[in-house]
Amino acid sequence: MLSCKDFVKQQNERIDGVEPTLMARMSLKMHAFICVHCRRYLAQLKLVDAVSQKIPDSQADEQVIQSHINCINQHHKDES
Amino acid sequence: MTANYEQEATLIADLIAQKPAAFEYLVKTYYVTLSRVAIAIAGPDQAEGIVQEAWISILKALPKFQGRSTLKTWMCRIVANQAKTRIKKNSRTENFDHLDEDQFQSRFKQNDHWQEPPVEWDYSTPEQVLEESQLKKCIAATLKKLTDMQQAVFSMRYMQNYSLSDICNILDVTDSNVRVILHRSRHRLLETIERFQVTGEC
Repeated sequence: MLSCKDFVKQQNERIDGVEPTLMARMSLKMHAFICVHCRRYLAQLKLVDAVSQKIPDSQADEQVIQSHINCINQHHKDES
Repeated sequence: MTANYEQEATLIADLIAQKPAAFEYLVKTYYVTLSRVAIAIAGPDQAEGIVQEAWISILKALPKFQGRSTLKTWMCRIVANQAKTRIKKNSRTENFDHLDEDQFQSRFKQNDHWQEPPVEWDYSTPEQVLEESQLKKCIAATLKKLTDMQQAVFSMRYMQNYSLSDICNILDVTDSNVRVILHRSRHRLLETIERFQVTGEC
């Protein structure tokens, strides 16, 4: 029987696009059916995945952005 | 006000025409991503210089951009190449600390079944999690504690929607390492939410 640790590993791989074989899929389903902890883990893993997609990316400091823009503008002035 | 370029082709045309509004849009939109790539490969001390040099390389090479990948991916590759050249020059040893110890493994017994199973949460949607302002801060703090490489992989995957194969190519990390990084990062977040659920603290 699939262990809980394997269940966790394979469900993570699935989230990252690794599709399990038909046999593996059946054994994941069977495991989730009998193991309440793994059922809960799977729901939480899916929630963490959904939360991660909604976390806004950090913003750069306005001064840093401006210094990079200035650097590009200066380069063009020097070139022309 | 920053111009809003919805069409990549218009942005590219304006960049080639050296329009200042296009430069501003380029830097404001892509600085964070490019900076993360540079930090992940060459470390935070050198990243600023690498990105500054990269803007110039990008603008010079832009007329030859053929659109085989998105502009964002193409720019990331330029930054990654410059960062790799820089670490070779300075013989900085490559940083493999992105595969640190996986603490989540201690939650399993020797027979690989749960020793410390997940506790029940009050949250069932991402909105519920992110509306809890203290928990949102805890999540941000957890992400900040990830290594530079982990942060780059996580944000490229989740915030910038890069494919796994693009992340591997840009950061020069194997497919299995990228998956391990994502797997462990998700577990860090899972444990953060769990801790908050149990203690009300980060």
